[in-house]
Amino acid sequence: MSRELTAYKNLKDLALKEFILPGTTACGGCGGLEALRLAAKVLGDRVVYVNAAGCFTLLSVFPYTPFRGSWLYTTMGSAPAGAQGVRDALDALIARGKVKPEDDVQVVVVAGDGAT
Amino acid sequence: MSEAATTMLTGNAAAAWGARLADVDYVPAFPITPQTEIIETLARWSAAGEMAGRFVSMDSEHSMLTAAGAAAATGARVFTATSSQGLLYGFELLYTVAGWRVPLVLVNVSRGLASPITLEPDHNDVLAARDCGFLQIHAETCQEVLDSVLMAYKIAEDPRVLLPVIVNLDGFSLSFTREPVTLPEPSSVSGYLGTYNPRHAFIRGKRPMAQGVSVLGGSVYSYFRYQMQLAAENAPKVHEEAAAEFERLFGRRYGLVDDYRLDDAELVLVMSNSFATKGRAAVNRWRARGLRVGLLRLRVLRPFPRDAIRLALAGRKAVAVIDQNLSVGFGGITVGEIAHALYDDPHRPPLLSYVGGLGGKEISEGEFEQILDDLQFAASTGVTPPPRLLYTEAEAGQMRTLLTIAGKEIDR
Amino acid sequence: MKTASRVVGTAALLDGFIAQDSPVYGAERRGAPMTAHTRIARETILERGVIANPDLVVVADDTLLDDPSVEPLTGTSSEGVLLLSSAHSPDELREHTGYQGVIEARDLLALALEHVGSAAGVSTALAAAACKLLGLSDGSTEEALKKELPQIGLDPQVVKASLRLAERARVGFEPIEISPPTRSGRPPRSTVVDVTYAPPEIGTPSVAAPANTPLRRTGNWRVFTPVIDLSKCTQCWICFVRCPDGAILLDSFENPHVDYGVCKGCLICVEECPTHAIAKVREVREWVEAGFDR
Repeated sequence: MSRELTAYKNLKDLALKEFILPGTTACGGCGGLEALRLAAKVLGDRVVYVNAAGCFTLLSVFPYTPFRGSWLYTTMGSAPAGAQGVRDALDALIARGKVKPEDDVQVVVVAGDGAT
Repeated sequence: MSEAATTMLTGNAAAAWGARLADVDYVPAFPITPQTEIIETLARWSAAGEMAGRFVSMDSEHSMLTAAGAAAATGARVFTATSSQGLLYGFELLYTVAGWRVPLVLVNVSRGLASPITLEPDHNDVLAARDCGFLQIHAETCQEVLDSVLMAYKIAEDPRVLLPVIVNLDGFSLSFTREPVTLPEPSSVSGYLGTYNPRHAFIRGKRPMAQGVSVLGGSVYSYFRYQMQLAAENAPKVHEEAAAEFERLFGRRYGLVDDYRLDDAELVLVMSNSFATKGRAAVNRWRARGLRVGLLRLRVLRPFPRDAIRLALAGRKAVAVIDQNLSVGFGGITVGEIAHALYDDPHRPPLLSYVGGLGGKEISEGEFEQILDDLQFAASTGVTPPPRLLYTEAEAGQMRTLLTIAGKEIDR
Repeated sequence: MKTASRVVGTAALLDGFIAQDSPVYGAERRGAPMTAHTRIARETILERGVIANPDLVVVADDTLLDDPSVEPLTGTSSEGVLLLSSAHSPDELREHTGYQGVIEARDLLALALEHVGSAAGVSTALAAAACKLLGLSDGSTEEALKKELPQIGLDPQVVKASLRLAERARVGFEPIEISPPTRSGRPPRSTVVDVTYAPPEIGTPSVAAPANTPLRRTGNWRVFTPVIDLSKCTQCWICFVRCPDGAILLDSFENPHVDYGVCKGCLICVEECPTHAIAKVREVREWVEAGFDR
């Protein structure tokens, strides 16, 4: 993963493309969704969001997902451990040549402070 | 080891060898008596570079099982181990991970559940998990532990199943007990198992997937849960194929159940796990006295092998089930499931229920004799004696002493 | 609407009936899409859960009539009643839905906005109207409102205003005789089928299609709609950035356009636009062939 930092100084530095699409059942005006949507513009689509129980759990309700990237809901209190499992697995699989480095993703925990 | 070798191994070491020979990618770990030796062994091998799998310590069993399932959902072959309190600490994850339909092998080293807290074995821990969607294989010997771990990967990763598997072995009487174990040749095992290449559950940059999604609507939820049941119903056939192939490569044969001197038996003992060995010894004693007795050992507990059990037990004169577990308010757990298997059979035998071995309590030759008396009574009268909680006079006497020492004011 | 179902339930109890009310929703948050069910009887109610054959259907938002995940008229008969808050007339509604029973419709949402200043007040108005249609007494209805409204945390002024809203809302409604259709003989048998094992790519609860939520047209959530006056726009991007759902798109001139199919009407863009180029407009939808898009 590239370690270079990109400075976002201006609103217009943000990507126009959406990486979390509309149509979720989040409340109209949800501040959390706004934050996640903007973060997603930085994280792009080579990402997996690992989630613990909370409002965001309902972002992905079968058969819909708003994400251009991947998603994994774990359980209450489990998102960091789940993210660890994904990260370790990708590292192990890439090290063993079972997954190509370009198939790697960033692993991001998305949860409320109580749920993590 | 570069060729099949026979050596003295504990049940824990056999389990660790299973993970190593299966060439797992990932082992998230958390210690608990009596399985810690498994992860200590794997940690040592991983640090020494003798095992390619990545070993990571987690902060609890709840986290460990999450990491295990998430890694499997990423596409890795995963191994982990726990026991009793640890299994229960991560209990919700058992349902979650099975619901994700990702394969992995979880070795449970069975231990009685608190309270009172103990370290010695019984089967309440693993049987508490019987509804969650994990398949269950219970091993009697250290060899069977190793072999069952290998077969478990083959069964779990089959597209007709794709459910995780618990391999159970008794704490102390198997986990810390050494027996001769033949280690299969690593290249034969990789031929047997191949690599795990999931097409349904993975995390890859180029093909995004949302897993563990919410579901609203009972018919949608039911569909996915029914799929798990159907997958478990495919498992006996997959087990049979895996066992046949295992026998071909390694010379040892395993079934959904295991029978001992059952062919012409009129009286049958039903047991599971390592204490089934005591049952074999009892059968031999009774056979030597001219009695027609046999043993049925429960090996695969999920999927519950109804047909195999019914075939083995229908038509007998009497059957005694020894449950090393207790569903408080009900009694032994497996006897209830066995009764269900036999219910429709016109030749269902009297079914006697015993609870014994809780917390590793010894089941003595004397107690087996009591069971025999009850079996013979049931066989000749057709009357089933009431369930028994096995306890000896000597144990009761000892208990009175202990209670007194503990300051309990018991009558003289 | 859960509150509305409870108002009806409590009013029925106060009038001497036996009642059972229950909501069906997913996430527990106010304003989430939901359905509520109230059963009223003279003797013990031997049923639970979803009402399969309602005698009275109360719909808070007429755009729900065309929502395929809702289908509020399912199980209704020509002997029943449909009560809606709608700016359309009963005749227009009948033509649009083909419903053969009684249709009672008023723009109760406008009344709610007038009395309590919030669209949520429509549930109070509908509860009052429903009680009237059912023949429940005005006294019990008012008692029920006094009991239920404080339970959702409304403070006393709002409760008072809601009681006035309820009084106004029931004007023009009269009790309707609703006879539940008599069911004789065996109920029609639903065909019970065998579920078969699906390959794991199909039978696992995952979503392989990426980013497909726009298929869920959340635009029908709106009560007020944002309307952009591009002549006042300075292309600052603030509305585009601040929309939580990403329902505003920028064209090649950096002018913003609202995707009305998904815009939920939260009006953050109206609040945040520094030149006040975005207006908040009460929305009354025309019927459109495809359904409820504007």
